[in-house]
Amino acid sequence: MQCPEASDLISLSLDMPLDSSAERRLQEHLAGCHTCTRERSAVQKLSSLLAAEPALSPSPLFTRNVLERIQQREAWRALLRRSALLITGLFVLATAGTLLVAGISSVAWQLLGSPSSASTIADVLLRVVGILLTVVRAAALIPRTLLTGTNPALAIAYVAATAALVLWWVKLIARPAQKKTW
Amino acid sequence: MAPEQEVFWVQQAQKGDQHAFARLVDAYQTPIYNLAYRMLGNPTEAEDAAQETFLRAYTRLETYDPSRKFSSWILSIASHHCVDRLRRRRGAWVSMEEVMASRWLPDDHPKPEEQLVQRDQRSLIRGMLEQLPPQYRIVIVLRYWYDLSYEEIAEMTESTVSAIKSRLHRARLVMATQIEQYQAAVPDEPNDAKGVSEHAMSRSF
Repeated sequence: MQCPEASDLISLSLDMPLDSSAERRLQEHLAGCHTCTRERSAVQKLSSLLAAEPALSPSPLFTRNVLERIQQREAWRALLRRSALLITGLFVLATAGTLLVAGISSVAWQLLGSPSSASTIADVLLRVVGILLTVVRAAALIPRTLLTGTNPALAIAYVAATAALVLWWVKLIARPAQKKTW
Repeated sequence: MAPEQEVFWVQQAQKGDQHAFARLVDAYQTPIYNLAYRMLGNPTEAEDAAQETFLRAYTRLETYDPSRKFSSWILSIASHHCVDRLRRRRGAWVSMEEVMASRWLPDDHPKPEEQLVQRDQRSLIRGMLEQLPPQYRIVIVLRYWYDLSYEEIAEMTESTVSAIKSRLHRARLVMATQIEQYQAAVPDEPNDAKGVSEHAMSRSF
């Protein structure tokens, strides 16, 4: 046996018993090798020294500090989640507002270009009121989901449904106006 | 904590019960704190790293697989966290090859300036660990203070059994060199481990 193999076996023997032939060959090598014998005694001392090192105790407030940090982190995450929802809500509102203005102006444009009658004006006004009501309902939905919603997926679904509703209304306004001959 | 009790607390904690999680922290704070202390060598940083370990465990509780031991899972999180902290420390790490090359080979002529460096057992152990690169240090810590097998250490550090074997071997050679230096430096109390550790305990930290 050469020294590198003996060195491997010395380390291995600290973790598990060697099989008998390896043990015998190691002993034979150690009998004639001063360096390896010395290495073995040093790593054995190392092992007993490490094993004897006592465990230390963490601070008595350890568990309380961990729980405090968990609560802090959760509060921070809830805040982030709410801000994300708020930003999405504002974005949807802004989109709805733009579409509303576009819808009203397209109706107004058609009114200007055609002979106006009392009935068409009443018709248009009714639709405008309808759109406004939808937008107000959408606006009311967003704070409500923010306040009560613990499930972000549900809140996003609400917001999406509202946006779809607004779009549908605006389309409804625009389409018959084009078909009718005002 | 009995195993079935532990399973119960883990399940409750997975449902978001912080009180149940606190029981787990109570049960594992000492081993986790000691792992961090052996790895980082500093009680304050160890406390912070151990708390961070539990914080990470809490946020990842749903990924815990109950067929594994909870102790292995939490030790594995702590090991990764401490190795990461060591790697982030300022100053590049010396590779194990360089540590091995520069180690003073055991002979009968100890370098005089190194004789007085290690004064007591605890600082000797800390000094020995601090020489080791993070991946070697964690293997020594898990082997000696947690009595884990090569297979368990390999699984915990995402490594192979042969790599663990080789790291243990090389780390031991480096540390054994320092033991010899220590013994050459304090010939008067060579094997009185009790006396040495009492001396270490009486030191104000």
